[in-house]
Amino acid sequence: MKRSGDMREVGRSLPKIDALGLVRGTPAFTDDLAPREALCVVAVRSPHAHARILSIDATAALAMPGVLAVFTWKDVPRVAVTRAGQGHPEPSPRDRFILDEYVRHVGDEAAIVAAETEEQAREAARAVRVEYEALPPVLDFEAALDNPVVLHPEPEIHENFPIGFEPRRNVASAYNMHVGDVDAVVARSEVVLRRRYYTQAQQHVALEPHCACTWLDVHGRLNVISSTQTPWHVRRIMARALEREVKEIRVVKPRIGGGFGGKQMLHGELYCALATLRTGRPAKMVYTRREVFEATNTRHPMRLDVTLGADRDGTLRAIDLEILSDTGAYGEHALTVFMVAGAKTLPLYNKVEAVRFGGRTVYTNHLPGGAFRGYGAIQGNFALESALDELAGELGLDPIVLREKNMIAEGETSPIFAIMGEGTEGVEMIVESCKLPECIRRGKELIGWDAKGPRREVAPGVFRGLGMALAMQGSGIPTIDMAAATLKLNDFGSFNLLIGATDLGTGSDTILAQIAAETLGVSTGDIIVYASDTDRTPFDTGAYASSTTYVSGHAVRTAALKMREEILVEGARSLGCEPARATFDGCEVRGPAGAITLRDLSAKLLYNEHQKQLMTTGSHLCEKSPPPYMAAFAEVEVDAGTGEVKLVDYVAVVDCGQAINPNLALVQVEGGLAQGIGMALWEEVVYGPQGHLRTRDLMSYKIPGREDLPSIRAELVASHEPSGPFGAKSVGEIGIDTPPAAIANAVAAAVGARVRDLPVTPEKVLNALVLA
Amino acid sequence: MAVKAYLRPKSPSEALALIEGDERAALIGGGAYLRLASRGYETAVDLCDAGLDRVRVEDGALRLGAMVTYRRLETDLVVRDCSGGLLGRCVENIVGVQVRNIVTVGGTVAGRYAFANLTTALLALGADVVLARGGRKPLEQFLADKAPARDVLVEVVVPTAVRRSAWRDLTRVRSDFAVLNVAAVDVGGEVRVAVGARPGVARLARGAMQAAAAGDARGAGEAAAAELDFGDDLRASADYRRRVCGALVTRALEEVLA
Amino acid sequence: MNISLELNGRPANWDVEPGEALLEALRRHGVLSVKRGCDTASCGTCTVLLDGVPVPSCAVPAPRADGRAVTTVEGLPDEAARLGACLAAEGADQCGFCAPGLVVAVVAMSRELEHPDEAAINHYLAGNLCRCGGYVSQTRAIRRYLQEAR
Ligand SMILES: Cc1cc2nc3c(=O)[nH]c(=O)nc-3n(C[C@H](O)[C@H](O)[C@H](O)COP(=O)(O)OP(=O)(O)OC[C@H]3O[C@@H](n4cnc5c(N)ncnc54)[C@H](O)[C@@H]3O)c2cc1C
Ligand code: FES
Ligand code: FES
Repeated sequence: MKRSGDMREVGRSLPKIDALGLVRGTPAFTDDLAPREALCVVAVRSPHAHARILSIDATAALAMPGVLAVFTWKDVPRVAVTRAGQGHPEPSPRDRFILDEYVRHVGDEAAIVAAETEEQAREAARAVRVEYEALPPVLDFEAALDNPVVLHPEPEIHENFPIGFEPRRNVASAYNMHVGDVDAVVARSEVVLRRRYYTQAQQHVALEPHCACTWLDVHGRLNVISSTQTPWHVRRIMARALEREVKEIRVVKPRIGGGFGGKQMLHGELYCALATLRTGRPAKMVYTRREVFEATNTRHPMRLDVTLGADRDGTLRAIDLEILSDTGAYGEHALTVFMVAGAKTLPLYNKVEAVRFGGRTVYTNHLPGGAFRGYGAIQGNFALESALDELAGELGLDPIVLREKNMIAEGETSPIFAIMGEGTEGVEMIVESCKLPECIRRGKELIGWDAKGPRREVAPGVFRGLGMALAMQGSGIPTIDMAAATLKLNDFGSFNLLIGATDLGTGSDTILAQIAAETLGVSTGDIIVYASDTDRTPFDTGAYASSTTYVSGHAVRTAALKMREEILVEGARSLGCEPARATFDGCEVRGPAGAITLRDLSAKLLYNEHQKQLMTTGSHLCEKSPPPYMAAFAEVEVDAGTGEVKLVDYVAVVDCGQAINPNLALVQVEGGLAQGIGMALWEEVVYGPQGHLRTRDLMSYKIPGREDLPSIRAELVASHEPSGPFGAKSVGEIGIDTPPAAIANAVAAAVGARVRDLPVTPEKVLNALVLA
Repeated sequence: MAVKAYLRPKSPSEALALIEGDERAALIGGGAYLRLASRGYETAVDLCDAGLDRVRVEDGALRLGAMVTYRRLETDLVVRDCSGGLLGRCVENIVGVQVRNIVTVGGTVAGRYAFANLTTALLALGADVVLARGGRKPLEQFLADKAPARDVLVEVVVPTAVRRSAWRDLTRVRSDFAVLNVAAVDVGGEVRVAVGARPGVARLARGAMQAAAAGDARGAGEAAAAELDFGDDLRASADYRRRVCGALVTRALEEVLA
Repeated sequence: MNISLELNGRPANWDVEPGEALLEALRRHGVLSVKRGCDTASCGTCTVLLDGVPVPSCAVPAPRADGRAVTTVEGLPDEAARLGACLAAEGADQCGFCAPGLVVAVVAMSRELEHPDEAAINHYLAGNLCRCGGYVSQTRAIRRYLQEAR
């Protein structure tokens, strides 16, 4: 495989292929594309955190102008599904129906209204009379296990394979594993640190709210355009929920305005489909921002108990991580997010003699948890990387020295790779690329670690502190994630690249075009990308688990290698020579006695000689999941009088293998960091005492603006992952993982206030200061 | 209730006539907040043509028309000079320029919003409000009015003898509503301190003002923390507010007394 | 009710609801660059110029546009192309949902501020949220655009 030096398209910061169109505001998002005559679909949402629906009277609503239909749980198939948007069969419990007799969080759908205009639909939704029997809610996830109130008594729900599902105990999933005898090793350790940490619910806040539209085409097939990360899973789950055949449904993902995991799950698709199937009319459902807050998913809040056993010299001997995760009303991603909290953190310190991980996820009457960039790793990272700093403090060691002594290195492995996958077993893996030492060295230099020292008073009562954290993630889900790509040669030398991969705004369409171009030897401008259409492009599991570059990229490369072969064969035929004696440089096929340009050859192939369509498909199954790594450094300024924390600098150095497009890789890191910083300092889903959401708009739920963030400095280190396309690993998620721990560590360094529950608010800092 | 009519009166008195007899009519200033409230009105009475967007200095006072926008408070040199920059500073971090281009002095004051930075600043400055029906009264009295009559706020009158002023607020992200806000001013030799977003509506901290008169900034902070009422909300607890109130008042006064 | 406005330099005559926001009216009339990101004047994706002044169209009553000029990205094609090129060159553009509103705000800023430094840029554009990036590369792109515009 080529190395970076001699590559022409890969490794270049080419502009995103859709950049100009989007900046100009070209209609490209779901709501822009929905048919003008589409009915508007609106949900009647539960005002209760937990209730049984006694009756629904839609008479008044149905009599209102423009109203075409009202659906209740009695009108929909009684098929248990999960809306998680994962592979088949899903590792999440099938614990949900299109509509149900029970509502399990404030904002849960009680009924669905379809009307001519949005205003009419909203008015009608207000006029639907729902009589509820309010049930006691479970709002404290630490009291959910074996609570007398059971959220999911319904008999139809089930797990697809063993995931520890015990709905009668309010348990959505459970998992335990260990290597070695943790208790014994801890008992023998010279220093033992036990700490409890909490991470909060965070919301994705993709700026484009969730949106879907549906219509019946000329063949009577249900067409869906959806702002989704997982078109194939949406199609499959819709078919199941609606009791249709997969072949009757087509799902298309247009441009989407950010996802971050929040659009891996299904939201409006099923409701639009109901309206379209019932009325024959196109329908659309555009979530309001409030609905996005009240009726989609959050990051799973967790309680994490960490025990570290170490020797005085800083040798880490045992890690024990026990987690209780709150999956809210439904078990979407319950098991897998929780497992990743261990699977993508613990291998960082692979030299321990014993390691244990376990716990469960429980149901509560909160918003359902779901996939969210970082996917458990950020929660685990906060706990583990905070605990390591606390341990370093006890040992009187520089936190970096402690990490360097214990961290994983190239050529090594961790038993956890084989034991823990996502919902299933993992695969054994030797780490072939790990540039953590370089990341640390460079990061220290950029932040001025040695020069500044951990703590300085910069004004009376104002202290600066430095903190850091390491992180790892994965690149796709091994043995599960699969992607395919097709290349089609057009007359006069351009190619259509048809991919199932879903670009959420990340630029993956561009990156995959670069991979195709590099492999073919042509320029990226000659690749016309069409993506994410279940009818017209090959399959892809979707954009999640940091899989697109690594997995879909491989598929594209395979398709392109095959295309090269075919071009050689056809070129040689045209030149009258053996294919083995011909070469193709992207521009022309050259034989011993002459050459033909791709331009001419492609035109001939369609119009003049041996006419045929060249079309090749590559598919790729992810066989291992090489982690990207990163070292991150935060500098904070803490006002000891108010507890205010100002993040003054953030440095992140990342090993993501060969960056296919360095600019796009860096902005992934930058964006991930911004979200991680948001989680570290400000973002928090807050409920009232009855389970009502108190953060349901962008005035109460604050995401960082441009004045809240320092000039984040992200860099990539040179790295090459042998198993990746052109040496690439993933970069989409890892950026988010470090800020909670790095910032909490920096605050502790600055003023001695250790905050163990996120977010690190001024109030908590001040309280910790008083205690310290 | 859907909005059925939209009207643009040409003067405050015309606006008053439109809302006085009609419970379902609502005034629109910037409109930013009204649209967020549950749309409990049928007739929108937009003040944008009522001639209320003037800024002028008259009889030694700065008169701000009800429709003067926040952005104007930031950029208008007259406003800046008259308030020692306080009126611009207290609003300059609110959301973004887009919002500050529409939200108004009148909408903020008339709304009696507890979080409003501007109200805290105006209270410290000792401003009066002028109402189409109710006439002129001190802002403090206007805010305390338990059952305000339907009226149109015409303008806010601010003394211009501001020698020094200081603004302190504490927010989560920069553009957020304040967890606590403090304005301190020296107007013609009198030091005045107002504290808002406690989360109750802005109040003068009279004990703090007394201590400040004696030049004791620290004592003033302690007095303010002791004399004011604080509550819990989404953003912070009463206890936290009380603790930082002292620090913010002290710091603001240190600046004013320096 | 009927309103007459100037939309991107051309006269337009629209039927609008007395209670609807300018954002809704714009989208209903096919001006789709204007995005609805929040409904609470908090995100900036719906930014338009009203008589040249940037406002959140979700918080402006549609009838208020009567007799006034409304400018959206559709009316700023050159600026959009140039800023778009800068954003793309810096790799600052991600999903693009925030981009049209950002272009409008940047155009307003370039008309209002002489030589904004980074802090002034960040302050002026504080109402334009972006969830995909961390603003750093966006700011770099905006500085490049302002430099080139000079
Ligand atoms: C997203 C967002 C964030 C904000 N953040 C902050 C913040 O952090 N800090 C802060 O201090 N403020 C904040 N505000 C509030 C803002 O500063 C204004 O106070 C608020 O928008 C009201 O101003 P308006 O002109 O839009 O009033 P409107 O919404 O038009 O009116 C508000 C109320 O006053 C009435 N009214 C309006 N004008 C008059 C008048 N002349 N006479 C009598 N009654 C009248 C209306 O009928 C209505 O009841 C925020 C607003 C928004 C939209
Ligand atoms: S939609 Fe108008 S500011 Fe968000
Ligand atoms: S690019 Fe997605 S919100 Fe800015």
